[in-house]
Amino acid sequence: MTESIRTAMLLLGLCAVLMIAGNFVTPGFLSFSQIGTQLQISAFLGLFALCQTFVLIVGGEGIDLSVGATGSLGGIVGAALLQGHDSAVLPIALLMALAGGAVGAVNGLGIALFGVPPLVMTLAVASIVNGALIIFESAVQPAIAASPFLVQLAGRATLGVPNIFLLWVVVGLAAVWFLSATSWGRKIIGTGANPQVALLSGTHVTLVKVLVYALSGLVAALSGFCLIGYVGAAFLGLGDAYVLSSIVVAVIGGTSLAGGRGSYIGVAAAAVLITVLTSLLTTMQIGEAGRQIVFGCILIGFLLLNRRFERR
Amino acid sequence: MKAIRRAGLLPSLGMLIAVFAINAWLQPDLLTRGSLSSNIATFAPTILVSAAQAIIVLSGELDLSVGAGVSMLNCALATLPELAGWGIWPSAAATLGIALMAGATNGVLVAYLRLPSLIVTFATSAIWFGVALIFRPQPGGSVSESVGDFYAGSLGGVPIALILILLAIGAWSALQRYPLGRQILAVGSNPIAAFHAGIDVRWVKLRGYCIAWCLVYLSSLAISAQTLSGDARLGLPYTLTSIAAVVIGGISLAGGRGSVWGAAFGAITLGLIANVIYFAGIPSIYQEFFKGVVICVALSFTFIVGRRRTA
Amino acid sequence: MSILTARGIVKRFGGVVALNGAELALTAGRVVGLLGANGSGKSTLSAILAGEIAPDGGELLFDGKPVTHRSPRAARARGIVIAHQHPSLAPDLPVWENLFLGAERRGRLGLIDRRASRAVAADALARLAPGFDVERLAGDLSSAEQQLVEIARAMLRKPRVLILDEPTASLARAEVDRLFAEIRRLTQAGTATIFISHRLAEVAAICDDVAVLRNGQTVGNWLVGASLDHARVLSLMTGEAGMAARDRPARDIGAVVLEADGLTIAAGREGATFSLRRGEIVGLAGLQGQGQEEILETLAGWRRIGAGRLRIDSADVAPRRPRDMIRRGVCLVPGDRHRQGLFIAQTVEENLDYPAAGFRRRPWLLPFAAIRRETLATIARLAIKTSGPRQPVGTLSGGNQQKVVIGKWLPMTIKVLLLSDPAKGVDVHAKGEIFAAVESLAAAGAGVLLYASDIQELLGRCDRILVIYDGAVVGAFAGESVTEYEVLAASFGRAA
Repeated sequence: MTESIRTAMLLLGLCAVLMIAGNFVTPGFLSFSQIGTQLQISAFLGLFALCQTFVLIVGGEGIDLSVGATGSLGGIVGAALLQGHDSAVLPIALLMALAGGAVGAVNGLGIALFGVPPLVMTLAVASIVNGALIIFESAVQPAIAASPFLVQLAGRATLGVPNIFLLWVVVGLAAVWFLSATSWGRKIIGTGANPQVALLSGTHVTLVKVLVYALSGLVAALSGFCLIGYVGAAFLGLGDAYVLSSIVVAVIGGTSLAGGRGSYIGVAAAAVLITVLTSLLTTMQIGEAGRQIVFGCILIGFLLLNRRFERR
Repeated sequence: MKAIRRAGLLPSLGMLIAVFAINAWLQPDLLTRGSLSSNIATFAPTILVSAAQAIIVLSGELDLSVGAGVSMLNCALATLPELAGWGIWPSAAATLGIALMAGATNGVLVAYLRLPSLIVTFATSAIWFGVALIFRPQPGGSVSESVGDFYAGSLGGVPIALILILLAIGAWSALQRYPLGRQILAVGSNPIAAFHAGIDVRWVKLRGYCIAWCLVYLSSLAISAQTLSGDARLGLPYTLTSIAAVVIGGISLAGGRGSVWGAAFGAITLGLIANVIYFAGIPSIYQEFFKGVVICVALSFTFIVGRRRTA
Repeated sequence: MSILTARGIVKRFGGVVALNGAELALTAGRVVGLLGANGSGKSTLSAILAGEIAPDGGELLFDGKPVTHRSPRAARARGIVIAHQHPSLAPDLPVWENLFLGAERRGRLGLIDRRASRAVAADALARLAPGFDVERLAGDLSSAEQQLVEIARAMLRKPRVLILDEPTASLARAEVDRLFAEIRRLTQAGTATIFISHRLAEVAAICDDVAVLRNGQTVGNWLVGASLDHARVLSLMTGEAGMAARDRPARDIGAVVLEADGLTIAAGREGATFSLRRGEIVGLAGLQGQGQEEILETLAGWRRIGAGRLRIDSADVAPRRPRDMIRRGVCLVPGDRHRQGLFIAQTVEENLDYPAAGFRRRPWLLPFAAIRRETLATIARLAIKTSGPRQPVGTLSGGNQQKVVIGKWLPMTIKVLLLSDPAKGVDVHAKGEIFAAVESLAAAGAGVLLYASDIQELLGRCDRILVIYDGAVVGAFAGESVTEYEVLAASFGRAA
């Protein structure tokens, strides 16, 4: 875990540098409201990255390409049920959590029981969920507005700190605790490090994998549900942007692609960093072409630096 | 026959025949020369890019940038004539050069600098997309009509598109009779064993990427011949389609096992599904859903019926 | 007529010094046995000679001239080849392609000459294992077959220097004999061979010279006469004067804790029938690959029972996974500590605490202070040589790693301890410590079932020895009095 803290410090340091640089490019970049927006966006990215973190740690080339689809599911079906009112927000949230968990469990069963590679299984499930949502939208023409509570949660702040950021901090702390100080976390890490050793030491490896993917789906669905509060309405492809970016954030945050290692601290810092970087690139007005190229080069640069450090 | 079984082609071939049969049943005039030719011409870009992905996957890596690459090459081809005043042949040659550079870049980053291929090709896909946008901020430009006519034509009764596909994948099969072809598989199967055997693993992987990107280039030629213009966003869906095709084709994502023909069958299957949906009168909104279902069916063949070897 | 001489070789991995001035001289037409405890540097030295690692210091002389190998390919070009302890094969390629990987036979137009390759491959393997099908995929082979392919590949190159790293670990007696015949054939043709093994009897049989490594240095070097002076070798390897003769404290043998009745993984076979008492140490003997490991794995709940019954403390059990048996106090120390026994990248403490972590009464809060105390106690009890609980377990020597594998069960209630070849690849000194630990666990009341591929490890240590053939018990002997001859005789199954 100390390694993760070191990574987090480095990433947040870079973040601070970027914010200061950003202030030179666009005065007002370091303003209170701007920082608030950054934190809101980071929170959502961080939540989706949490899904990937767990899935990466549990190993077996773990990855979850369905977080976007599940997020869209949570947002679209959630909005359809809410009908713009707060009256049943909590039960609906619970229902979305269950739905996301079920999707994730399907992923987990395919991966753990049938040995399907995670890349493929989650890709297939994403296709099916997205496809089903398309059919749902056109068949039912559902309500798409977010309810006032969600808008308050995702869009507003308490004492100047964005609510969703506070929620993210709580969830993040729980995640760190879960991974480092509970038996369950040790089992997840053990399963990722070497499933055979874990099995022989008494871990129910299949169950652990299924539960981890279910957890990923659950968090993704709830994040999508909250997301409609931020954007105001649900739409197809709500979660799409988060699929690959959540993986990038998890990896930059120090989670090993091979599994068995990692902590959420670094990932959370990476979420903030990537958000600030993306905003900075946007404000620099270098056009989409330039933004894409710069982003790609920076990502490669970061990977190279990471490798230099790992060599030790 | 044994070779087909050994390469794990039975499931993908079986599925292809099944979907083809359904298509033929729904669309009686499918089995005419005109219909078959036009289908092959439409599917060719996906088939070629899936074959490219197959080669990279067989070597034990992944390339998420092939879709953006197709876009970049397509935009280059459509813009170089007006930008540099070149004719079709110099433009085509220059575009091939760009393709090889892109493949080599990915190869160097993955094989020599040892960066994880999933993330790094995601990064390069952003770069290729950016380059595509530099060439063509808005869709436009033009590819010479002669290219389009040539592509739509046929040689000795065989559609050019089909010849292109057969040449490309046939070249790969021919390469399998040479050390490099087998070493690409060995490197995917067990890179450490390959290293101990004296193989320069990095050099093999680099060449694998370059060979694959020749196929990406051919794919961009095929698409350019059809659209006759450049569009930076055109190729983006190709990446996930190529991965789906590779999976349906029975190629192991761990590397070392499977046949490029399987990826071709997978790509054709995906293309035929779109046909089936259209001719069955199913609203096109169902297409995404059915694509997912097909991948699941393919998976059940490959993973429930098959098994993975360990060394 | 020295082909290859290594002088003063130094190699460091991070802070660990693996080789500290090692020396070795190889002469054409002679076989050198390279002995040494785990961690003494044998594998590192071999890897350097074969061009896989570059040394940090010292020099290599090839035919009298200084050389540096830049890669395995360069070493190969000079005729230096190595057959690794863990076979290095591409599992998706057939055996014949693996034999020629990196050195493909070319025919017309530069194409691979498949027919000639298959023929040569078949011939090379036929000498080691008659009737070997070279079309089979390498991943489908058993570990013994993979070892043979690895060796055949090295020998095929007609090397000037052949390095065999623990070639006989998985092989049966007949295969070892054929291997030795091939080694002699190559030796007569002028090859210099390095034979690395822990099996002193084999070293005595095949080697002309012997070199002993300890702590990265060569500490002994002499010609082998008619027989090998075991005591001298052991004292050089460990740096101590001989080990005291084993004397076993008396143990109380209690009630029956485990009963197996016709237990087998495949229905329709005879299966194993035996019982185990508390405090008893029972050894499983017999030819290699006769199902001893499968029996242990079935008892551990890792393999599904095909037929037969299993009782723990007189209660029938039908385990679905290891966790079911661990709950009943049946703990397995598996045969492959790297792949089945340890989280190589994790610390000693994390490994030692893992099974217990899965059974905590309050899983939401791990008691770190108590865990640390437990870890230190285990380290002391098993005499694990480590710099501390936070040391990555991958940097420990083989014997100490094995102690960690055993140690992780100490916090649990152990009714039955299953050990699958625990001393495989472990040096003599650590071997003694490991068996002492097993003894003490038996003395504390656990029933111990022990499989060892080397019969010597069972004789004199077990209360009873069961000889296994084809998954069934074909002989039972009292441990005190049985001789190796009797065990061997029983190993061939029931008399016709």
